[in-house]
Amino acid sequence: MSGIKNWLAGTLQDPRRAPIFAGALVALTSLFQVLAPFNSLAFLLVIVSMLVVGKAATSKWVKLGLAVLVTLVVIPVAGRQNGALTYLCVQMFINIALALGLNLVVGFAGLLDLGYIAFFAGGAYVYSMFGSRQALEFMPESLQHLFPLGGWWFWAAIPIAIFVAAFLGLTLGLPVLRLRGDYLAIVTLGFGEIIAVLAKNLDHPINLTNGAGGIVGITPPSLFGYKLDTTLSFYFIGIVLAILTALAMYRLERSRTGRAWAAMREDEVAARAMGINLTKYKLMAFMAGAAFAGAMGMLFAVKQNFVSPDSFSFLESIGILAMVILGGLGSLEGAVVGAVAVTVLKLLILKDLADFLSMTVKLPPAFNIPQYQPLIFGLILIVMMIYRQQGLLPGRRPTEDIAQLETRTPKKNTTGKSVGA
Amino acid sequence: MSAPDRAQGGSHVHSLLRVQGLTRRFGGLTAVADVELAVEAGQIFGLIGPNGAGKTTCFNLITGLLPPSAGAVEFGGRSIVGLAPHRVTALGMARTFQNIRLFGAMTARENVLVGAHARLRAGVFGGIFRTPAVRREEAAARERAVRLLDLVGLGDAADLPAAGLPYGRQRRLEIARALATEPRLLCLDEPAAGMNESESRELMDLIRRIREQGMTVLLIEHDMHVVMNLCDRVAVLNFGQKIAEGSPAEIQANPAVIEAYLGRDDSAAD
Ligand SMILES: Nc1ncnc2c1ncn2[C@@H]1O[C@H](COP(=O)(O)OP(=O)(O)OP(=O)(O)O)[C@@H](O)[C@H]1O
Ligand SMILES: [Mg+2]
Repeated sequence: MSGIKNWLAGTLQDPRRAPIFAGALVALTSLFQVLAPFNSLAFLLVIVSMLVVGKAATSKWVKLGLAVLVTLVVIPVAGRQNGALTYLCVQMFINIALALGLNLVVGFAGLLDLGYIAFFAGGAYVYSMFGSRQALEFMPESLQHLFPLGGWWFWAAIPIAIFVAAFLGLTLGLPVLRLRGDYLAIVTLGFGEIIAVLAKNLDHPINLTNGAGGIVGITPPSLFGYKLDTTLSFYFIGIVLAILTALAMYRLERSRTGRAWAAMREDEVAARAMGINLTKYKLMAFMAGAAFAGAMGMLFAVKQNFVSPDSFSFLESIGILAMVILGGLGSLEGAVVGAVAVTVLKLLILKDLADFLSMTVKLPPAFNIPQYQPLIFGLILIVMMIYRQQGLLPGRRPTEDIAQLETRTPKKNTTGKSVGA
Repeated sequence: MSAPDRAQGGSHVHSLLRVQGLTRRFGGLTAVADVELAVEAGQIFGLIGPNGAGKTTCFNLITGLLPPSAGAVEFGGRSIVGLAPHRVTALGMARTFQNIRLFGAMTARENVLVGAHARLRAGVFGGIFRTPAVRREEAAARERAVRLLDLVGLGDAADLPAAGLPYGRQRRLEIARALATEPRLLCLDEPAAGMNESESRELMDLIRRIREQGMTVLLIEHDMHVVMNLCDRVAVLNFGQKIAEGSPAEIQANPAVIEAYLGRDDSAAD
C-alpha cells in the first residue's frame, strides 16, 4: 500500500512523468465514463482523476486542457445518454459557487452565517416572480402584457438578482454589526428562516410568491433567439457562472478588500488600528457573499423550473456550510472540493447506496433508506471534524502558530483584559 | 543629545499632539487621571511609568480604541475625540501593540499591505476587475511594502507567516505595518520589550531613522537605557497621573520619579 502511495507521489512530482500519468488517467476514466454513462463509479473516477490532475506537477495549460476536455466533451457526451449526470453537474456547479460565496463570508471575513440560503432564495424568487405567469397575479392590468418576461431577460435579471441579494445581505448585515460568534450565528439563522417564512406567506394579501405551492413554469433563458431550456444549456451556464465566481474570489482574496477581511477575521482591534472601517467591511462581506448566491439562485430556478420555500430551508444553509468546512475554511480549492464532495455524496453515493441496500437487503417498507441520508452525512461530518478539523484542503490559518504566539509573549505583558494592549 | 532645538519647547499652539485633562475610569479604577501632554512635531517623546500606570490606556484613548471618560485630544490642530480608530489612522496616527497583535496567518508582506489600507483606494469591484489603476496602485503598494520590510530588517521574511516569526522580528514587523499607514505620529508601546541588548540597540537606530524621515514618535518604554538615550522629552505616569515631565536628565534627577519608579528597581524593565 505505502509502495503505491510513494510511487504515486513520486510520479505526481516528477515533471516528466506527471503530465503523461495525469493525461493517461483522465483518458482512461473519460473513456470509461463515455462507454458507461450510467455507471456512478465511472463518474467518481473522473472526479478523482481531476483531483489527481490538480495535484500533478505540470503546467497549468496541461491541467486546463484536461479540465476542458472533461467538462466540455466527456461529461456532455456521457450526459447525452444519462441526463441525470448532467443534472447532477449543474447542481454541482451551483453548489461550487454557493460554497465559494459562503466561504467569502465565513472563511475570508470570519462571520459565521447560518442563513446563507436566504440570498440564494432571493435571486431565485426575484427572477421566478417576473419570469413566470406569477407576475400576472400581482402586476397591474396595464403592464400584464409584458409578462412573463421573455428569455433574454434572464441575462438582464442577473445583475438585478445580484443587486437584490446584495441588498438582502445589507439588511442582514446592519442589525448584526455588533454581534459576534454564537450571537451572530443565531441571528443569521433567524434571518434565513425569515426569508423562508416570507416566501411561504407572501401569497396574501397580494400573491407575490404563491406561498407554499411555489412558482412553476419559469421562462428559461434564451440567447440570440435560441431557447436554452435543456439541462445541457444549464450545464454550460452553470460552468460559466462557477468559473466567474471562482475567478472573482481568487482576485478578491488578493485585493485590498480581501486583505481587510482577513485582517478583520484575525484581529478586529488591530484591523481597526490599521485604518480598516470594520462596519464597512462587515457589510461588504455580507453583501458580496450574498451577491454570488443571488446569481446562482436564478440558475437554480430555471434549472428546476420551479421554486418553493422548501428548497431554501435551514438544512440547505447547513449543507453549504458543511461544504465550506469540509473543504477547508478560507480556502478556494477547499470550497470547490467540498462542494463537489458533498454534492456527489448526497446526490450520487448515498442515493446509490440506498438503492443498493433496498434491493439486496429485504427491509420493511417503513425503513426508508433515503431518509437516512442526512444521518449518514452527519456522521461523515463528525468523523471529519474529529480527524481532520481543518478540512480537506485547509486555508491559511495556522491556529497552532497563533497559540504559540500567546505563550511567546512575555508574561508581564499579557493583560488580556485591556482593550488595546 | 541629538535632539533638534524645535523639539525642546514645551506645549504651544502648534503641537502635533495635544492632550488635555484626559481621564479614563474603569468602574472604580481611574486608569488615566487628568493627563496633559504636548508632543511637538519631530520629537521622540517618552511616556514612562510603573506597571499599571495607565500608559497603554493613554494610547488606547489617543488612538480612539477606547473613548475617554473626559478630556480633549487634538491631533494636527483638530479634535479627534470620538473619532473611530480608522479615521484617526487616516489622519496620520499609527501604533504598535504591547502584546503583539499581528495578523498571524498572513505573511509579513500582507501584514504591511494591510497597514497601507488607508492609503489605497481599490474597492470590491476594483479588486475583482483589476483595472489598470488598481494594478498600478497594488504594484506600488507592494514595492513600498518591500522597502518597509527592508527598513526594519525583515526583507528575507516577506513571505513567511507572521505568527511563525521570532519575537523580536514580530515587534519589528509591527513597526513596519504601522509605518505603512504613512503616519505623522508613530506610537510605539514597549517596542523593546523582550528584546536582547543588541536587538534593542538596532531598534534604537531604527527609531532614530524613522524620526529622520520626518515622523514624530511617541514611545512607551520600560527599558530606561532606551528611554534615556532616545527621547527628547519624557513624561512620567504613576497611578494614572502625570507626576513629572522634562528632559531625560531632569526626569532621572526628579525625586518624585525616583520615588515612584526608578527608586524601586533601577532597571524596572524586569
Ligand atoms: N479594558 C480595561 N478594563 C478594566 N481595567 C483596565 C482595562 N485596561 C486597563 N485597565 C486597568 O487600568 C490600569 C492601567 O493599565 P495600563 O495597561 O494602561 O497600564 P500600563 O501603564 O500600560 O502598564 P504596563 O506597564 O503593565 O503595560 C491597570 O490597573 C489595568 O488593570
Ligand atoms: Mg502597557
